[in-house]
Amino acid sequence: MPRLVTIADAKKRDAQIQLDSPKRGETVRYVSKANGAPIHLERLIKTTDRSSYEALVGRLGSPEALGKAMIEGDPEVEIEQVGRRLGHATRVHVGPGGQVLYAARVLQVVTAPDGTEKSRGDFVDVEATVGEELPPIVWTGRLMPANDVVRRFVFVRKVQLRHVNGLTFDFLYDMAKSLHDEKKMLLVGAGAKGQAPLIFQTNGSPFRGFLEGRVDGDSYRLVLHLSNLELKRVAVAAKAAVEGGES
Amino acid sequence: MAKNIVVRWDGEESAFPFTKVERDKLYGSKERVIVDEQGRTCSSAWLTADGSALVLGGGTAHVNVDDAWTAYEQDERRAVDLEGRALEPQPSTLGVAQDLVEASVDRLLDCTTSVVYQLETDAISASLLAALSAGKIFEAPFLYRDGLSPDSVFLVKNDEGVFALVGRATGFDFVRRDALPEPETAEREDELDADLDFSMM
Repeated sequence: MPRLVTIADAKKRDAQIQLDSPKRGETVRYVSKANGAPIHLERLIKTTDRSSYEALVGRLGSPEALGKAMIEGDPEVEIEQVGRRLGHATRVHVGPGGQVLYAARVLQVVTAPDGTEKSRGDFVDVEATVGEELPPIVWTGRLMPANDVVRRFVFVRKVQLRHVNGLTFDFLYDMAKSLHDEKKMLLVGAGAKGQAPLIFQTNGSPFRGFLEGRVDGDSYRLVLHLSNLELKRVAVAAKAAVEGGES
Repeated sequence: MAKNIVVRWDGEESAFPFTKVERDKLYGSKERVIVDEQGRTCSSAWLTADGSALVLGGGTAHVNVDDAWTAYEQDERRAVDLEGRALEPQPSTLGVAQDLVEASVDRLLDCTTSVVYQLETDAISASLLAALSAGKIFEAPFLYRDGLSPDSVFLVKNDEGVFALVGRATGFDFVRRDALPEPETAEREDELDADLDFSMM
């Protein structure tokens, strides 16, 4: 189902429109080099709670005894389970002793950039602020030159706003044209004044949103750029400076 | 020794040691932690559908198999597109000078950024530094490690320094009045749907 959201324009009129995600890149499959057979990835069981290191040491008495047992046999191989497809398994929580929890408490731990714990408390769901049944994304009127915006914020998600009928075509076209003519991007947000972050589902990432519009003859392109990161330098540990790192 | 991002502009090469810019390094993080009744931190595990096995973290492995369950190593397979045409792997661009082209702000806005690096500019050429300081944006191909299709890396400068934004084009088109709403397909899935706040997980 396409995602529908409500958005307001500069005249505080709102309408429900569709959000489209970017197209995915080229679809890649893998085949055997030898015979061209299609290959897929399977997630298989390697060890269980009965054949983990801790369980085996517990059963045999010491790491030395486990080492000796591994020379003499294969105590770590649970023949009925190893190599089985994990399949539709259920996610559970286990306690420090390895027992399945039937009642668990969920905490939220907040950590500072230097790794120190700042707070710890019960986790509370954060509700979505944007959606089909929620108040509109607000046109704040805060326009910023695109040249400045791209140097201040990192846009980690983008969605295209599309009309769903003739009326919403005019609505979105006019929005895109006004932004195109201004050559600026518009800060948008949730809440009555548009100051709240955009959250698209319960416990979803909070984003700041910037609308960018372009028109070409009788067609338009209206994109909501979403950011949760500023373009700022981070503290660099002496060694990390040259190590980089991938996503 | 880690490799640098190396670029060439105006006939001169610049090599940048780089560091990934992440939210938790800038703002800290929020983590969801499960504890038992005594407040002890717990871990997650998988219970198989038949209830016969409890699989702890690290207890699974991914294996490449064909329909007959013959296992394959990574180097025993090759990538193909949907029509079965072979896709040639390309080498990493790290440590290899990539030619820069000037990019517009619109071109940068046409791409979604997946990774940001801050660059150490001790070995930047004077002409590139001058161009970046004048507000120019540059683009080059980027592959962190060997892969099938390179992303684009954009070099931008602000008051904080020089950054490399790695991204990929969104493919958004202009839409006309008669354009029908696009259905959700495998090529265009709702990426916001899976966009849980991972700092909470």
